[in-house]
Amino acid sequence: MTDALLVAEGLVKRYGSHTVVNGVSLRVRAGEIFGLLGPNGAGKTTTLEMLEGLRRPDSGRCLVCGHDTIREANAVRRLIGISLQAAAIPGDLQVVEVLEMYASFYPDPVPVRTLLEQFDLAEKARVRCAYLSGGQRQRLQLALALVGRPKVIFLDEPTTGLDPHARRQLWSVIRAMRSEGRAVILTTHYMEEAEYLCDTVAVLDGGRILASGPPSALIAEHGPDSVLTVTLKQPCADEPALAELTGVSRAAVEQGEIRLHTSRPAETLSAFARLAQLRGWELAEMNLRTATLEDVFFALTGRRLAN
Amino acid sequence: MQAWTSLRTLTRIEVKRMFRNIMPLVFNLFAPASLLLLFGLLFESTRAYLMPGMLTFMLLNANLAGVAHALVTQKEAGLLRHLFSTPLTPGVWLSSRLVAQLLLAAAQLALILVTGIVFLDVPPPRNLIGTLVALVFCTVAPLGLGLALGSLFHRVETAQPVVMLASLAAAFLGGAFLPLDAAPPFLQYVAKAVPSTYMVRSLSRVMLEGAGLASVAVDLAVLLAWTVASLGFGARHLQRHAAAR
Repeated sequence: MTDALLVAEGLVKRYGSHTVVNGVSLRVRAGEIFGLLGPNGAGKTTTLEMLEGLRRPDSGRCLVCGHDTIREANAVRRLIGISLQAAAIPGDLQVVEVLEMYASFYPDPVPVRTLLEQFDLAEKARVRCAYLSGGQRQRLQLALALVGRPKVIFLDEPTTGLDPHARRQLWSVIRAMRSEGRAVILTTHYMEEAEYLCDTVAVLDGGRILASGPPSALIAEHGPDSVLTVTLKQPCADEPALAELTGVSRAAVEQGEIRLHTSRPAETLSAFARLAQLRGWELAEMNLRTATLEDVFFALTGRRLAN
Repeated sequence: MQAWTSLRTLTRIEVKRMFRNIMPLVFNLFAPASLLLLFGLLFESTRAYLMPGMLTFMLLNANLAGVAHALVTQKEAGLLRHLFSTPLTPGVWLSSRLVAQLLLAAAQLALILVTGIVFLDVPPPRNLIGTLVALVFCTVAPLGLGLALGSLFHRVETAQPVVMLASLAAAFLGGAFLPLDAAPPFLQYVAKAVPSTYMVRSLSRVMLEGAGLASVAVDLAVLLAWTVASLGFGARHLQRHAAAR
């Protein structure tokens, strides 16, 4: 893969005796959206910060367009655009002023007017950032990441805290970045976001990449054929019996929800119905669906991504 | 060239922010002028002495406290980290603050002079050029101290009381409000170690006595030494903040 704009090899980061990131390697091409998917504490943000050159790996290295992110930090900063998860935008500055400020750092920035229009912020140009909605602030963050015409863009949980409408708006902006030939690396803990946006997903847990590939390939390789989820009216603690149902490859009860991975959904359904009748369980909700990345994570770790 | 464009833009925006945030602006500009007016009317004999004292108080407040507060606020909010993830260098960021603070200092000097001359019949500075030169030294030294002090803290709520106390203590120990001639010898000894003493002394001599710059060279040299040491410490912290951790 010679056209990789971002290459990471064996990244490791430790805090004291705790290894936060443990041997992460990845490659991202031009025109690719690469997602780091994992629960809180999986090491996504630390990995991203090492890729950006903001955090020094204890071992391993990362190259952006062939430049080492630590040794050639100045060159790398001209090639990347970053939207930090926790970065504040100065509330007392107007949208246009913030864009002008960031534009002044680059030799050939995207004109501020173009960015205002591209990110649907033209009407808010003279509004102070403190008065922007969550979606508008995130769009401004993305505009700031793009102002220097970067080849590689890093987005740390770009849609966290947004309503579904604002999230979908942002998704279309991120897809546009891909169509412009940039490499986009994002972290998310929303599986639907990773499935919708990403060409490649790396599932992270405990600082390691458990699996990576296109979402459909990950689902086909690691996910079950079908997932039966059932919520009972009373607590259920009979996991061994659930695991022995016909066709079930994995069973778990979490937060009152029974989750059964099955390769033979019809047989599992009828076997579960018999078990429920036998135990006197009353059903509150039942759902049979095809597998998602959430199920891939569950299959790989035995835990739900949402946790 | 790029650094120059960034410096111009950052300075322009910083000045706009100063004028946009009314409360700090009022406090930085009008509170010391009001105090000068109040004390000048109450104690007629101290009028002239109060002018350099209040100017020092203003400069400490705007530069030491203001810069320390700005640095900690931007660090805590993640703004500084985001800025330094771009090609912006800590040197340009620091220079923009320096230029903006010098512009504010010029406005502070003008306001203090107008208040003193118009309302208190205090004569204008006898050595205006000397006053302006001393003003640069007296702006940069507390700015460096503010930067160094701000480097020590990561949270605004922890930094704020320390910074306010440091600023006020420096003003008192430097003799910005009252001359320390009658103070206990120990206090006078401590006063010699604080840069504000040299701010008040150099400003007093050029403004009130019309002394030449050569006669305040030692005071300015002490201020320069403080500036180099504190700016160096603060700049190193900024470099570390900008580098990968």
